[in-house]
Amino acid sequence: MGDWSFLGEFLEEVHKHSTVVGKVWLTVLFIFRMLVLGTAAESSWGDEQSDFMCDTQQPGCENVCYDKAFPISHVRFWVLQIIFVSTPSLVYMGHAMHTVRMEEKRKMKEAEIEAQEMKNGGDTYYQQKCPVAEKAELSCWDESGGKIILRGSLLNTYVYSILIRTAMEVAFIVGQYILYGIFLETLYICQRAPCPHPVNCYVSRPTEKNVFIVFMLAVAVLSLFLSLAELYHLGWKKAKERCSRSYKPSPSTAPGRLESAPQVERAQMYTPPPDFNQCLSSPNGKFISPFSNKMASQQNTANFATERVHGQEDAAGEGPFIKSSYVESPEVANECAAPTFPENYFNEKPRSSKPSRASSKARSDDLSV
Amino acid sequence: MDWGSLQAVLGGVNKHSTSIGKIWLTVLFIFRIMILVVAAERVWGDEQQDFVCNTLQPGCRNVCYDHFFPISHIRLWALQLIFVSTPALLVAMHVAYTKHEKKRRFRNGEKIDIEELKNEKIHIRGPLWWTYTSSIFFRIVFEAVFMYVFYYMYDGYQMPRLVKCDAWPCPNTVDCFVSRPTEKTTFTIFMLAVSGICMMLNLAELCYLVIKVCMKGSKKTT
Repeated sequence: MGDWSFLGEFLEEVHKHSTVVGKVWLTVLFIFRMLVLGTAAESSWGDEQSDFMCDTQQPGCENVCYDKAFPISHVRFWVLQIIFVSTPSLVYMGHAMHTVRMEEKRKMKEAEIEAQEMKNGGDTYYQQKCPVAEKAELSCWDESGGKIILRGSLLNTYVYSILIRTAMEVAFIVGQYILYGIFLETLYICQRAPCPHPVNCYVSRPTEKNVFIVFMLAVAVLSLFLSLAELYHLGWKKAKERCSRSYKPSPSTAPGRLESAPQVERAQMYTPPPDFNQCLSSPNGKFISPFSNKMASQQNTANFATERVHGQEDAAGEGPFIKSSYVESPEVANECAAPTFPENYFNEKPRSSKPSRASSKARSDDLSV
Repeated sequence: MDWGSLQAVLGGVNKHSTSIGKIWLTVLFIFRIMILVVAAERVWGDEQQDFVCNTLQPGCRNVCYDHFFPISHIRLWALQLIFVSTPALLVAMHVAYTKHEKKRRFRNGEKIDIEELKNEKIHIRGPLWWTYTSSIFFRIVFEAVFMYVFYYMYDGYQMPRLVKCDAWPCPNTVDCFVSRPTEKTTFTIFMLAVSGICMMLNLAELCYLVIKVCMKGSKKTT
């Protein structure tokens, strides 16, 4: 049995940064393709050449007839299929890791700037904070959860990776059909030198092989559907965003506290759900959804900010968490924050020491502030 | 073959590589080592058993197989992967030595934060830059050498279906048939393509490092 652990480990990382549909797709890949291939299909195809019998005693005829019948074995074909179909996810993963790294660098720089400002005196603090916060707002990094948010170029990479994955699936399914058709025949008639005449050759275990061929084909089609569903899901949400944006052009007209609940709800509907719920739900049960919609994110952070300013009562568990996201939002920064925030912001431990690996480890740890 | 130990060693190097170096490592593990282990070894598994010669002369088949396949593709690829991965160990050793030196200075009373030392990301500068660059250079050389060795040993990258053999004790020129030639050709070309990609990545990394140093140098002068 081949060792899939190299690919498996990489895909585990991808699993943590995927949407819900993406995770289902990965699970299907792991269980129904890799595992089945490694455990069952390989033993079924194990004796494919040794038990490929031809009705001839001509030396070499069996070899050449087997080679003609199976230019590439089904098992190897599926191995290549799995690898090529997984590769776009790795590219997305690379981009996500790069984003994480850039964010860590940015945070380190910010911390340095603030440390310097603290030395020079607090007066210049507010002036510095605003431009830095503006830059942060466009990032794909959720400060609070330490998670990657699908937006901007990262979302584009994700969408492209799914498109390429879909194309690969289709290419391999079509390729399999062209090479072998759908079913394997028991009898293969072969005429090729050095066979003296057309020779009957018999394939080993054709029925068992057909069962696995149909199974793997079905799983490939299922994976294709999942990829298309994910694309539709992302595309639909983007279209919805654009529609809602045309009704509400300006983020600066962010409503006050009373409208916070419907805003959050709408943001929930907007987001392609990277499944970061476990990280982002605060101890008090308020759901703060990851944003792919810049406008909704701005409105939400503004709303949380206003809530924060008005009610410090429920601050206990979520205090620093809220504060960090508050500080990152531009509108609030423009308003120039209430005095309490800077202190708490400094109290919060910078995550710069955590290597990029942190983004790939158990997410629940990040929230324990 | 236990490639897990190689992964353990190279995983450490990954931390101190450039982005291109990390991509190279990923390509190495997934497109080369994994393909070798999962697919290619099966394809070449029965290469001698199913090497059939049109003769009843005992020993002729053995001798002909040995004549045409002095070293199997699988073993050559394994050697190639080991040689290509080895220069990265130089970098790992240099980094370990640097950290050891810092610890020694710490023990001698210099004030260094031990936590920071453990988590510190070592930048590729100074002597480490030279080690890193020379490791990439050697990688490129090894890749090129092995690609040439494959070409020279097997007369190109295609696996022939029929080979004609007249080595002793074969009584005359005997037809011998290779097992699964098309599949073997497919994988040979695949591995060649991935070697080429790895070489391109190494060249890109080399250029990136050189350009970075030149730019730093010009910044200092201006």
